Amino acid sequence: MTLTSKNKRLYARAKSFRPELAEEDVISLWEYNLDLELPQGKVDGFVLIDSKTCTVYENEQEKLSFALDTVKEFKFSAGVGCVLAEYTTKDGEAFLLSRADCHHKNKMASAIKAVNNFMRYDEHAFHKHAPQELVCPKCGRAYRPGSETCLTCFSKKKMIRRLWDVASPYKWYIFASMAVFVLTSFVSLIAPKISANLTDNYILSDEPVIWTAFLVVLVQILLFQLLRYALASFQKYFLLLAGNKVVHNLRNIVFEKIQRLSIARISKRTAGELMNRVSSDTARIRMFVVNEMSRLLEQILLFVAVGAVLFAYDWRLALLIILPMPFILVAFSLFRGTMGKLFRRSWERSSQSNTVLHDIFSGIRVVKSYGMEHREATRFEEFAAAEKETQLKIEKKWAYINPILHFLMGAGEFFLLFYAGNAILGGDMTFGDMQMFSTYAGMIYAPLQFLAGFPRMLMMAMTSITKVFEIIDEPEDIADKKDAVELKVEGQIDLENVSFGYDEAVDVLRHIDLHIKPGEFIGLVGKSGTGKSTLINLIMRMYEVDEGSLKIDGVDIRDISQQSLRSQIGVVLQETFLFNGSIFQNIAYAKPDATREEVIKAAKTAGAHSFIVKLTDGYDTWVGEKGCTLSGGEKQRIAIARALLHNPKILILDEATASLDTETEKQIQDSLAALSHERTTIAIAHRLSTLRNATRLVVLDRGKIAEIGTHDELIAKEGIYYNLVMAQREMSKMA
Amino acid sequence: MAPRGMGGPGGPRGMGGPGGPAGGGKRKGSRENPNSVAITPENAKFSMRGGFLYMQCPKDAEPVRVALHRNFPFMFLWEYISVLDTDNYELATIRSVDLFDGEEKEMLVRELERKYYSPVIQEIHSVKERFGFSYWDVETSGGRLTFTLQDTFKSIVRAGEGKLFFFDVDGNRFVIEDADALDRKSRKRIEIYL
Repeated sequence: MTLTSKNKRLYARAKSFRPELAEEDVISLWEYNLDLELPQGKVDGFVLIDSKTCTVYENEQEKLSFALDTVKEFKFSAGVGCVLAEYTTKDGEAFLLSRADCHHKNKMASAIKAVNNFMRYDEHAFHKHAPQELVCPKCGRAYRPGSETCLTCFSKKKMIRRLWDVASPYKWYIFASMAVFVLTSFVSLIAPKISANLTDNYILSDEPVIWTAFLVVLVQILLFQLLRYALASFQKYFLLLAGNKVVHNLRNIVFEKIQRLSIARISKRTAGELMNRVSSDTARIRMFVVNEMSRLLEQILLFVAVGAVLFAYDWRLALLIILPMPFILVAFSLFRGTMGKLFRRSWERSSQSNTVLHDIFSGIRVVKSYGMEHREATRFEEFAAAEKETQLKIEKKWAYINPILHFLMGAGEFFLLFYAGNAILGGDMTFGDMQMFSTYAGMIYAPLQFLAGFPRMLMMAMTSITKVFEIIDEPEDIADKKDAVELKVEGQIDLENVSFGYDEAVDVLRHIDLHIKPGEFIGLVGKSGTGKSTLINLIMRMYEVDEGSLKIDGVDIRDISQQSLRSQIGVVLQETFLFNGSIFQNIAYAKPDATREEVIKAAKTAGAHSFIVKLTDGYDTWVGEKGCTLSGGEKQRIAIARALLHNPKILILDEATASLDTETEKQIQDSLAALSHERTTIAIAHRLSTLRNATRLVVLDRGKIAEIGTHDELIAKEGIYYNLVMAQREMSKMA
Repeated sequence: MAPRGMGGPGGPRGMGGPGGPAGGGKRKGSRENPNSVAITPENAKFSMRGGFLYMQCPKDAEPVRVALHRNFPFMFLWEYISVLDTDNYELATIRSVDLFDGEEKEMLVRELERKYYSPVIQEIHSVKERFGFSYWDVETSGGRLTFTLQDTFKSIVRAGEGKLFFFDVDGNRFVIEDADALDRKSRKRIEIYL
């Protein structure tokens, strides 16, 4: 039995009060930091539970102690910005026990779970339940939930290296472009030397000019120019090729990753935001790879080469030229932080106005039907104005910074003029040499100018790179095991003691035991929020169970490959989605190789065929964005046909027929019932008549199974189901 | 400008409580209580037992354990309060806690403050940003502390003139009552996120 580091510390603390306490005696242990009586007051306390007693220590003193056998259960509850623990005694009296800020949430929740499990099942599992606390070994900060990379210790260098990993398949293009660049630089370095020769030996020469030699020099200059341009276009060609391939690759990686993420993680972000990551951010990265990163390498190369040449000619002059450089570098680092934040803000603003736009257009029907066009226009204008303002701020700041940098860079030329002027007057230097130096000085400052702008480009790119890698690095909480099996599903589903909550603190489903035989039709009944949809989410493995086991045909769901599982489950949700495409394509979505006959058969079973044949274009009718040419019921029937097409062994209907009229619903129900012996069906419906064909009904109440049985059995029981049925009868009488 | 993230999409995440995480939205029953009454000292009485608030309504009824819930937790801290039973079913409403006085008002205020914990940020010592997370070192009404925001821009919500709510990665809330009233350095540190 091992305690996590955090628990070890807490255990040591408990031991200082109870020296005889052994590690395995601890049933549960949690810390808290807020006062119960003074809501804003801080305390330092912990609750220690062993097999006999529960003791509360606060501010280094024992505050309270009571026997565990007087307690019925402990309960965790979430306040707002804080969490609370309470307990109920066997005679039904409730007492508040401890209060802490949300930092303690998961630890407190699982500690309470541990003590309850001990009291209920005699299961000693504190150590198992204690959430693993992972801390970055370098900086000591806790990792963010679900993440195992410390974002504080994450370096830019590493980011660039990651980007390089993506780019490396195309490294030969990049190398080729750099090789061409080396040639270009070489040519560039020779050109001033020829010019100096021209000036000193021909233009300013006192000797008579040999015309043929003069022409040779001119032709040389011309050829070098031509060569430079030719090389430059080759270089550009290779770079564009590389950049586009890199981004294409990156886009696919991001897109595939998003597809692999669980629903829970995807729904944290808006569709607009995800689109931004796939399209805009990757485009920004392409810019960076094609234009900036490669140029950075070139410019450094050029800088070193020109520097070497300058020093070789005259080291004093070279020193004068590079004199302002340290100042420039200091100026860079000073401005970098501020600019980075501004760019973040600008990104955020533009993403916001995009989201607003997306929001307005998606809800355009609502906007129009309430006559809110003007208000929405104003809203968008506000966001656009905010974006403009940030952009303006950036430009303004840049306008301040840029001239300063340029002035510093220009300073080197003044020194050059001063020194070279003196040298020429003293006869130590020719005019041609000065001209050559001046050209080299210009060449050494060109890379510097680029470097001055580089932090800005780097910052903008970094923001995009981080955002893209944030998606790529997002842990897949539901990943296939290495040895996941491909299962041919028969349709038996076994839930044993299954508990689940969307967050660790609150269980939505509690201790569910349910055994479904192949071919059964199970109706799930219960009020909204009792966990019905959650239960089917678990069967589809959209989420992982927290406790207990869920088996399909006797195999743990975690051991089955997700692809094989979902390809044998058909799902129809209340909210249907039709893709842009024909009705045929939409039905054949889950089985692209389906024949026309199969599609028609599925459509007939789903009661869709009759209305499809009435459409001018039949199965070729294009259902546009959201299938807006069809009614809700028609879309629903297409979705049912889609689910039936691949003949799933498990069919899940989540309020699938709620938007149909009773007659159509009955028709579909009957055709489904005719086929039901072939598959296990689980249906959720508020309209109880929908479930009249069900072999068994499962009534959920507050996350637990309250009743289970056939319609007649449950009516005879006169419980929750009976009341629901009676209430609906009353309703239909009224109607 | 309408406050960002209030009820609309793109609101802060990980706030816990009703609404909860994505996908777990419909946790509460959708029943409405047709008999939910607005209560005053005339028709209801409050008391404390075991650290919990109990209500008697009418006054001669059996005490029922209740919890208080702010209907507008950003704007109205002491008004528009729902009185819920342990199933989060609304039994009654309180227009304003000021309707009560003495010990009873104290009980209501303490109950609300106990449920809603959001230390007030008085000074910002430093903000460090790394890859989409920001690390804050602040002085609050509950002492100096540090917290982490994920997606900083979305985790700071404007709730009226100058009032800001911070939602950190753990689900804690912090509040700045008036951003304009902060000292110059603190204001400069937060300015960029507004």
